Amino acid sequence: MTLFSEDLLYALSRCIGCGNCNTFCQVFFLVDQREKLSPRAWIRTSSMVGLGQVKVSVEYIESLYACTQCSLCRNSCPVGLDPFALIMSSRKELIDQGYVPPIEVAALPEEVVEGSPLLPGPHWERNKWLPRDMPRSGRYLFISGAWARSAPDSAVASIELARRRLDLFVADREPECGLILRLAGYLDQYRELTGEMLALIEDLSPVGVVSGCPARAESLRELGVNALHPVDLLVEESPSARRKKPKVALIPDPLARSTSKAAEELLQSVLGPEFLGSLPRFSASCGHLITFRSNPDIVRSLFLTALKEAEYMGASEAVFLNPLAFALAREILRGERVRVKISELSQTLLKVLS
Amino acid sequence: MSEEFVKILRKLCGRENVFNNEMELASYSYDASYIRGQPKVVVRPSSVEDVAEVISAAAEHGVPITPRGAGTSLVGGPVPVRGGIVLDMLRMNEIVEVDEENMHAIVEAGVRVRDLNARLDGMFFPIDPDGLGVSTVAGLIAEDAASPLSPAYGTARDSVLSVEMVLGSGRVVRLSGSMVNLAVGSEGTLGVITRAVVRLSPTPESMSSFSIRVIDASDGLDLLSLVYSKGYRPEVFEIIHRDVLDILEVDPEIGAIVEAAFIGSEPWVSAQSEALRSSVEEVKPLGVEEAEELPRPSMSWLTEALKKAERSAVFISVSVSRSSIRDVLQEIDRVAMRMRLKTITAVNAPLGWIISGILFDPLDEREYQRAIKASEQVVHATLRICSSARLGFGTGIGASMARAFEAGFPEEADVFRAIKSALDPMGVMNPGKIIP
Repeated sequence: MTLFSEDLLYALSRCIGCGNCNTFCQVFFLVDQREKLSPRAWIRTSSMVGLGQVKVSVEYIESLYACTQCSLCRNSCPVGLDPFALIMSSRKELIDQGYVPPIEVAALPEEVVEGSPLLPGPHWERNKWLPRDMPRSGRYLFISGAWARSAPDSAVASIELARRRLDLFVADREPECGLILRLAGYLDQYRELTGEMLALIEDLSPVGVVSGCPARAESLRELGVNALHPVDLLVEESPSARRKKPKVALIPDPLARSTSKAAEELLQSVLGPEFLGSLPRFSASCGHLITFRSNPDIVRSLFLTALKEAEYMGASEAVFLNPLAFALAREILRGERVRVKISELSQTLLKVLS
Repeated sequence: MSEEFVKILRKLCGRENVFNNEMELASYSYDASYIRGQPKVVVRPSSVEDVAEVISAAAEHGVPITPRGAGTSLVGGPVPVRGGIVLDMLRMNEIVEVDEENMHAIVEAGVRVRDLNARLDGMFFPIDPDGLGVSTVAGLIAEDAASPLSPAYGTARDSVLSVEMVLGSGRVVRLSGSMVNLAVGSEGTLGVITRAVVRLSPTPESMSSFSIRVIDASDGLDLLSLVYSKGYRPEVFEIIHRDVLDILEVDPEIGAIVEAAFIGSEPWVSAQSEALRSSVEEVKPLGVEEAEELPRPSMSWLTEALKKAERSAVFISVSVSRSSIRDVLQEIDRVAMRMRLKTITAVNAPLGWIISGILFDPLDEREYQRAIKASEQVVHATLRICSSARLGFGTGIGASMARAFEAGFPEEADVFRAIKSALDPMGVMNPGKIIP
């Protein structure tokens, strides 16, 4: 009986150690290429732990949670492994075996349900902040999510954008999406929350769902729901821009690849040359909140580095596609001297669209 | 290793650059080979002074010290098989200067090929064994690495003009001319390369590549001889052996694929391509495809086969005279059949360089041991078949073939020992490599 399932241990042990994944890892470069915090080391040390060559330690578990799950390494492996998925599975199987993640990460399942400063309000009650005029029936269901209370301005912007095209309504109460729990390794809890979400959708039977979070929209699509992000609604219309356009660099969402691509297309058509493209080595999603819990300095430095890169590209504004990552960045960069303004995509679009 | 010694290292390089906790050490216990060895401490220097001080301290205390770049070696070069210190050179990663007029670059040890090439315009550094650019320039020099383009540009030896190196005694020296060969392929056994001046090559104006499907590897070798006999010389000529194609479930009629290319000026490339076209018909190929870009590197074929087979591999790397390639390939097939193992093999034919991976189930300890045994059998057979065989390419053979080197080349091993005792009198530099 080994710590990890045979499938996981087999995949981990198949790594040939070429190190190509490391060259895609934002954390690895942030720590000056220290091998311990790199995808190759997460895979190799997990394999050693699984094979019983190294014992499970706090140090090992903590290092696994330094990965922000940005997933830039996903397609880097010449022998076809998926470092991102292997790290996620290692976290999950450790939890299944009773190994508790770093305490601030272990608090997440409860916080997602009960609320905390960055995930405020109790589960099921999180859409109570919504604009008063939001109808309770319509054709498309808008789901907000925990982030919406931390960044209500972004959530309102995404609602306004979507309402230009669709007949939108909200539920009286809605469950949490819980994607963050999946990344943290709490897969069972994630499945439970997803089940609740699907039950709600089935109950209200909307034509489709609109989410201000692109990762949520894409994961619902994978589950067979007709789910959209405001960008998906706008991208085909090539809307025009008004007044002065900001110089924008996009921070894509690694968990929402097709929306990231659509957002690029949209910004390109709206802003033209003022759109400077996506940051090449940085993307952000709710995985950053997990890493922030266990390694706050890493995430703070990552955001600062990303903004420097945006500045270097000539941007006046760095636009997050993922709203929770935006809320987190706004929170932890408060008081930092940063030249580039940060914003969230829906807000930016609302400002520049005519 | 005593806590006292770790304290000394911390004082020399700063607390934040010296690690000895368990996961940190585990992270420096591997490279891209099957060799493993756990260091007692990891030191991350940022200057040649740091390196010199750490080596002096190691020599004084008799502690082994193993330099490491990106950890991409296929032969265990950067694995600390005798414990001690791993010297992680990745913090020294400045491209100090690109001299466009003289076409050379000065790089610190930890600069990766990809980053160097990204900085260059109209020129490139041609040694990139895996085609990914992950390896460090100094690591490639230390292993005297070869790449698909080596028939045209040589191995790392041919692209290095001089190095700054800290010898095992702690002394910092600059080596150039033929003396640079003390650094090339010595795999950190004599000292640590801290900086190198490398030769850059002009980006070719034109290229044309051929992917030729043939009955077997022999036909590929015949084709090369034919092209040579006409006075032409392909810049790339790699043969993908049948074992790779089997795994990839390529049409069984095809026994090997030749990936060839000509690069250079337009007229040169078109004349060479014409010569190849007329020679190809003589070996009755099963199909030919042409393109105007570099052909697919053999390493990419091998990793695709690993991906498909979902196996891990023990790699061996030998270079032999061209006339021995057939026999060595046959021997690999024979050993594989006898040991009931699958292999993945490719040949850089102009160099006579054969790289073969022996596949194993990573969770099956007995199969893994069998794969290692098979690799040893292939190495010994190669030494029997070809009297001028070399292990690895150049002298960088890591720990994987140290015993075979000693047995096969006893006199050279002696000479090497004499050089080592002069430059590394305390024997602390990367012990266990090249010789056991």
